[in-house]
Amino acid sequence: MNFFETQDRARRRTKWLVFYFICAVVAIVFAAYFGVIFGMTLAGDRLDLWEPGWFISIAGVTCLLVFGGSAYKSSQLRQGGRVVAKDLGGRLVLPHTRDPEERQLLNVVEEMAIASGTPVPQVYVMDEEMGINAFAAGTKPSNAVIGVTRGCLQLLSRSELQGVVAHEFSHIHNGDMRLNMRLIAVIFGLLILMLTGRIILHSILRSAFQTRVSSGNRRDRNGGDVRALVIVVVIAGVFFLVGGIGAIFARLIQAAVSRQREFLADASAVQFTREPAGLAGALKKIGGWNDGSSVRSPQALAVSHMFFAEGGLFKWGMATHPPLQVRIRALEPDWVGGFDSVALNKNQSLAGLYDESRQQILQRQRGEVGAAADEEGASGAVANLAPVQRLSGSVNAMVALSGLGQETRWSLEAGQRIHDGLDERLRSASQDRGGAQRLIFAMLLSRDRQQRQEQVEGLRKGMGSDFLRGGEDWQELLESLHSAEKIALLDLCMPTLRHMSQPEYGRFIQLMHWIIATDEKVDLFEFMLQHAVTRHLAGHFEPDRRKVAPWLRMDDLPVRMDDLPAAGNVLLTVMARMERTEESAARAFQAAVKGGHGFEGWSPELLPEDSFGPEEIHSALVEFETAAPMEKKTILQMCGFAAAEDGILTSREAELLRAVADAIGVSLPPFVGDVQLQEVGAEQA
Amino acid sequence: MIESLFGNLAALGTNGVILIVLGAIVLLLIFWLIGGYNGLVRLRNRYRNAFAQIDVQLKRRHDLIPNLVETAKGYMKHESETLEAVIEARNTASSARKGLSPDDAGQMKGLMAAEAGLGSMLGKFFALSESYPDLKANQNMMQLSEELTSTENKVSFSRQAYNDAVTLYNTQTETIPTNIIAGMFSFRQAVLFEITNVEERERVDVSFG
Repeated sequence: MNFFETQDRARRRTKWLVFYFICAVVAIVFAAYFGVIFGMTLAGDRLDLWEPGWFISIAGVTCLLVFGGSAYKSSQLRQGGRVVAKDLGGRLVLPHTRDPEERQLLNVVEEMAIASGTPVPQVYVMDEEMGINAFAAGTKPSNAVIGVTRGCLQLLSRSELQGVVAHEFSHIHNGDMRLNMRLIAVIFGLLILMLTGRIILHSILRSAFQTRVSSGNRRDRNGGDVRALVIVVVIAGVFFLVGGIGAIFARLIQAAVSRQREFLADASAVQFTREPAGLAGALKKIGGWNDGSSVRSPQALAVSHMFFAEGGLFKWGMATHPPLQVRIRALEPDWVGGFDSVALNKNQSLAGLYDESRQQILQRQRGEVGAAADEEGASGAVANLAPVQRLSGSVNAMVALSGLGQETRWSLEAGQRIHDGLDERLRSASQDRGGAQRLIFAMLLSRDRQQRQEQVEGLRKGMGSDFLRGGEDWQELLESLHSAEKIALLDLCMPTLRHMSQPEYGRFIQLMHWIIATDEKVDLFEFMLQHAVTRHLAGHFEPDRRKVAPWLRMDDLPVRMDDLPAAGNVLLTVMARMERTEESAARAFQAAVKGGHGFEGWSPELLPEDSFGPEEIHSALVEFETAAPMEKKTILQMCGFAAAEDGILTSREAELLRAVADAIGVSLPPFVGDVQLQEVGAEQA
Repeated sequence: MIESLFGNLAALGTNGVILIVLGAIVLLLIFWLIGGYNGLVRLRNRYRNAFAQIDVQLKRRHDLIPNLVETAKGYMKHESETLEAVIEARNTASSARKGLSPDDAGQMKGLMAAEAGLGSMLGKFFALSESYPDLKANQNMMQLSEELTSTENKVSFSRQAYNDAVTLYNTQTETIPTNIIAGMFSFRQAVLFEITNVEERERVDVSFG
């Protein structure tokens, strides 16, 4: 069968589809009419079987909804496949992407475009989807798009990806897409009918419920409208039922049409790639992968027939695709069956590692309450290691801090300067998903040689032995950086890290916690980094948690002090005691008190050295996170004054300032880099 | 109307009728010639265009190889001979490609030989690079080998399209009656583009020392 024939066949099928659609609408109109008559009779109204007035109005409304919905959807779809891609949560892959996986995807798509002689379509990636699946959409080859899931990119080999993409290309090539797009519009029309019914029912029920709750009086007032209400309820109910049944039948048609096309697409895919092994391999991986080919997007239902494999949506004879086994057998007649389980980067489970880290965290929290204070004492020695930089005048820092929250030119320039000063290797690493993860880990690794070795081993176990390759010498590079630069690097990593898939993110977070836990010291930078990463990434990867109102989140209810002044004292004390003797700490504290407005009912008090630990610092931060913006600004300014009291802003002080700012949800311009800093590490020693 | 037409024919006489028939045949011949000629030109343009697609990919492949060698140099210090041989093969192929017209059978044969040589050198190179894990993990190297793989695939897919076009064209020039037109206007046979990579089988054997 040549491809003109298949295209022709697809076109003829489209005509049949229109015919079916009209039949369906007629059937729906009658069903709706008789449904309403029946419902009204049940409700106690006396109606004849044939009421022309009723029939015309019901037919009118039904047709309007179904045709209107269909027409609306097809006008939307006329813009091409990207509408579908965006609905499914797809992100356009730009032609100059640097991500190796995306690069490969684009290359494979271009190859297949040459092989099939179609124009190169736009390519979308569904970042949220870890199932192995793909789709092609569009009304004609010139506006076609190809979408693949993140799971496809991360789990399939090159030749398997080629097989999947070739399969999608044959849908474009054979003219299946057009048919598919029509089907979407039809189903949408039917769903609109169902949705309208549901929305009306829902709002009526809710208002009825509210009326009953508030008072009985209002119900009496509504008494006259009961008949009208009954009519509306019956009509809405019938719409809901008829639309639903219609949609189910439409799905059956969809499934039947689609199932046939899939074999053909598999066959042409092999024609394009000239090797069945790739496509068969991809199908086998779907069978062996936990998520299979599932697509979670709620929009997936309407376009399930466009996918490479079953979206995991239908189980009851409504499958849009032939079973995997049958498809694989068609490609590899001597396949014995059975799927090998597929894992991301062939890792072992991280559960054990994670438990261990949790225990270590708990132990530390129990045993070392004064850890932070100890830290401050020990840090005198560390201070000589870290590059210390001198302020040309502490005034500069004040100026910088008073300009908090204002996007000024100098902060942009400072950012630019820091950015340009970064090692090219590090900068390019931060633009690559693996590289950004490696960078974060490298920043967290312990300074202690033996411990570092253990951590590196742990990472190898967690991420696969190839993971660290290329990043061995980063730690040395990083150690020489001022923390303002490290922070800049961290900021560069964030957008890249957002491109991780859900499992990757989970693993990354687990490993990060594990590294932090294996390090015996509560390093300030680690503290800050953890805060920043969880703040910026959790919002992206765990959106559900954010939707829940804070007071409903029982599991991680913050330990609140409910006492802003006390929290202020904790933070200022930490800042003032940082790398200072008792005497100068008092001076720094005083400077802070003088520098800010203070809080209502605040009695400034420099807390004793061992009266607080990480727990207290954390809850103080939580306290300020929910405070008013002016209070946030005040505490930051006061912290700044405390830090800059002696005219030296050390790397660690900068880190803490940034940690505080970040934790309480204020963006701090890189003032650390702006004030004229000079290396004075030697003088200090 | 009809009667007057017959009347006119009768008036022309036998010679006149023969003249008209001959004229019609000549006209038909001319039309057929024009049609056949145009058809051949169309087919020739099609395969030339298909070759242009291959040419683009070949050029890209030739442009990638120096970068590849440059990246590998730092890691494969003991393999400088192989690296030089790769560059040499690349230069041969590159100069064979330059100014090439797909109509010239000799040039095409030269290009095919050069490409086959380059393919086998690259095969050797990649086989050797297997034993340098650091090189394989190098970001740049990964990018380059992905691009090379892709370009090679593109070459082979566009080669298929080219060969299809050439086959169609050659069939037209060989079959009666278009072969007459092809002979009259010297439409030459086009050459199929086939690269037989001898070393490909070896590549599997060499992996890992």
